[in-house]
Parts: sequence; C-alpha cells; structure tokens
Amino acid sequence: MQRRFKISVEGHEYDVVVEEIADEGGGLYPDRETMRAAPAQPSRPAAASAAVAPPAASAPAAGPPAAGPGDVVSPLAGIVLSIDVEVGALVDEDAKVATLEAMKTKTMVKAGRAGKVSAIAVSAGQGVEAGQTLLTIS
Amino acid sequence: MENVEFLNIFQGLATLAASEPKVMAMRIFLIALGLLLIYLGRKGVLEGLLMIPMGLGMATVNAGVLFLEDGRQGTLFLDPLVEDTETLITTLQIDWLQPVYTFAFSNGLIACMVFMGIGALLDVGYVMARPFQSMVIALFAELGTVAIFPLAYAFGLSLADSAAVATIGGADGPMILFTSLILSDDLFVPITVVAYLYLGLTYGGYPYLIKLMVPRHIRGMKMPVEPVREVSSGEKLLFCVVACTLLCLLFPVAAPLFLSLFVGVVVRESGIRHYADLFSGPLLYGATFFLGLLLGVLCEANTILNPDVLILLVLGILALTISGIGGILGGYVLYFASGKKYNPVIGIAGVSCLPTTAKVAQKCVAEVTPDAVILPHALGASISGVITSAIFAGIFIAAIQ
Repeated sequence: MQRRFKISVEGHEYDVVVEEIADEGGGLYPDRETMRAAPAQPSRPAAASAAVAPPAASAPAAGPPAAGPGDVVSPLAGIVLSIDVEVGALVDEDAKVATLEAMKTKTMVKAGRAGKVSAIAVSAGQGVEAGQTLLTIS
Repeated sequence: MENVEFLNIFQGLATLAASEPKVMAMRIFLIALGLLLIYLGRKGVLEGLLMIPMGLGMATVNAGVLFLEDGRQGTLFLDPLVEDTETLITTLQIDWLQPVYTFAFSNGLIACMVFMGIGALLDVGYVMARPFQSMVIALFAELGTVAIFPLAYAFGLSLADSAAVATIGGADGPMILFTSLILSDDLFVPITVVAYLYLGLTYGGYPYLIKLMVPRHIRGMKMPVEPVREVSSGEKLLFCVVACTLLCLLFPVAAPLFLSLFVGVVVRESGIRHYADLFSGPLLYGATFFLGLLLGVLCEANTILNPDVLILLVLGILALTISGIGGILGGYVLYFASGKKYNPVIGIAGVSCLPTTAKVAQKCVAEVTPDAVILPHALGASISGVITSAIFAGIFIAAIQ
C-alpha cells in the first residue's frame, strides 16, 4: 500500500510517498520469524539480548515469568517493534505503550491502567512470548 | 514469396497468422493476460511470488509458438498431452520444461514440496491450545467445498471435475492442484490458475464479507484473557506423528499430502535446523516458483480453449465466498455457545489460505478495537483449515476416483 504525505520542514513542503510494507497484502506463506505459539525459540539475535532490560526480566529462559499486578504483558508471541513510552512517563488507561508484530501484522498494546511507567522489560527487535511482561506501570 | 520467407524467420508471427481466428485471438488474449498478471503481481494486488513467474510463462508460451517438423504447431516448453513412452522420451530431450512437468508436476510432487515447506513454517501449538474450537471453525469453513460440489454438477461438469472445482472452497493452492491433477485431466490447469487468482484476492475481499456479516460492536469484541497453555515441542511432535499416521490410515489417497505437511512440522519440532531451513526456504520457494511457471506455461491457447473455463470463474469465486460465510457462521456458533465470549470474526480464518485469512481477521478486529488480539485463535483455526481441506480432498478422491 502506497501512501502520499505532504511534509513541511521549516516552511519547505515535501511530497513524500511512503510504502507500507508490514501490513501490505496477504503474503503467500506464514512468516517464519513470528509463527510460534509458545515458548519462544531460545536464540534471538544477539542485539536483542544485549538490551537495556533490567536484570530481573532479561532472562525469560523457562517460559514467561509470572506477571505482577502492574505488569503489561504481551498478548501474543511476536517481535517488539517499538516501545512507545519511557520509564517515568505518566500514562492513562488507553495509552498505547508498545507495538508488536506477529505474522507481519502490527498489534498495539494499551496500558490497561493509569499510572507511571516504572520499568521496561523488553526492547525493540526483541522476540517475546504470549504472557511475557513488557513493562510495568505503578 | 519474399513475404513467406520473412515469416519463416519470425515463426511466432507465422504461427499466429496461420492459426484459426479463435486460437489467434486466444493467444493474443493470453499474452495480454500474462502481462497483466505480472503487473498486478508487481503492484501487490495479486501474490507476486506466483503471479510473476505465472504471467511471464503464460505470455511467452503463447508468443513462442513455432512449426514443428510435421507441420503442427507447438512450443519448446512442454507437451502435457504426451502419452506413449517413446514420444515422451523424445519430448523430454526437446522440451525444456518437460522433465519438471513429467517428474515433479503431473504426479503432484511440487504440491507436496510446497506442503513440506508450509509444514516447516506451521506451529501446531496454536491448534493444540484450542483443538475443539479450531476444528469446529475449520469444518464450518468447508461449506464452500460442500456446496459447490452439487452446484458444479448441476452446471454440467462431470462428477470428478465438480469435485476438483469444489476443492477451491478449501482455499489451499497446493491442495487444489494435487486433487485436480488426480481427478480432472482436462481442467486441472484452469482450476488451479483460477484458484490462485482468487486466493490472491481474499485479502482484499474478505474484509467486506466480515463487515457485512458481523456488526461493528461484535466485530471489535475483545476475547477474555485465558491462561496460555504451554505446548512443548515434544507434545507437538507426538501430536503430528499420531495425527499423520491416523489420517493416512483413514485416507490413503491423500497420504502424500498428510505426510508432506506433517513431515515439515515434525522436522521443525525435532529441532533439525538444517532440514527446517531447507524446507521452509529453498524447497518451498523453489517449488512455488516452478508451480507458478508451469501453471503459466500450461495456459497455452490450444490446450486451454475450453468453454468450461468460464463456469470455473463463477464457481471459484462462489466457493470461496460460501466458505467464508460458513466460517463466520461457525464463528457465530462458538459466539453463542461460549456465552458471547468468542469473536465470530475468527471464523473467516477457518478458510485456510494460510496466513492470509488469519491476518484479515486480526486486521478487521483491530480496526474497531486497536488492542484486541485474536491472532492466536485465528492461526489455530487456519492451521486446522489446512488439515480439514486435506481430509475433504481425501474423501473426494476416494469416493469418486
């Protein structure tokens, strides 16, 4: 799907054509990277494991760790496209906190409760399992 | 005289001029259609993986017609009609795609190789997490298969041809090829081409069907969070081995399909990385490429000139539409059975066409409620759909052949 945007930078207008790749078309076959129910494959790219995750959540070795009360968990197995908040940010219930991708389809994750983001457990590019804690809101 | 010699050099033009008007028109039409398919494949309207080799094959095979020794017209691509062994051996040495056709296409091997690749991509954990729901949806989504069979017969197709067309309702490309190769000598090319054309359109078309059948407030319904049952790879392996053996025992005619699909899953779950990579990479895409190319090359004006092709266009789209309706009805059955906790949109995913329909379902739900996630349910239904389509193929072949 191609989309045209008109973007103005310091008064100059630019015509930009953006091609959306992630959501485009059916794709003939399932996506290899994200077609997995649970648990995740152990070997994710090295870049992901070297993320800035707090030590408590950086080792999801044996299945998803039990989620605490303020934890926002991943609704499905996939890859984290982006974490859309920062530690310390105040969010309300409906705020979008993360975007996941599974089978080349984007899914957004909402905060689910109002509060302050106290910890972020995953980073963009990382593979997550269903039920795995993404971040914590207190 | 000068004119004739000119045409002898450019034989494609000479054969075009020498053929009867009907064939001539068909050749020009198919060249144009081939080019259109390439264009649509490139634009992403249709699936480029198949349409680009298919379109180029279609265009070139109808362009490259020449005079053979005995004055007949033909190509250097392949001859699907060769029957006796001696001619076949000669043809194998002349027509460049004849070896692929004879040794891998006409016996269904290419379809099976595609299946091995798909198997290596599938996570049966989605089915095993919700086996009952997945199978119910998948069975409902075979409505098109069941409905089109008598309808096609009423349209005047033979029993075997009707069954072959009906498999389009299963929405599974390689399966349709496999079944129609066995059941329908005359129509397997148009049936499979029509099927792939329409399958490419489901991504754009099914959302309308969903919006028509499921009101907005139900469409956006979030499913209650349920504990995710972890299915270990050992369990998945066991499930596949048992299911594969059992299904082969019940439907020996479809055994090649079951074995191919499940051997892919088994390889994946056994952690044999090298095989899994081979299956889901080179084997899958190599087979897909030749499947597309050969389907295109088989669309030759002389062999495809058959009035039944037009009926197929109608029956094909009907089959997919009715299957979609059936799937959503199945979704509604679960919706009411679960006390309105099951989102009926998931039903569309039962029309296997993996992974398109599962993604369509997720997309339609997320359009209303952006953070609703039904993809795992949909994938379970979709994978079950592949298995039920194979079962229906088995039933058809066993009952009719």
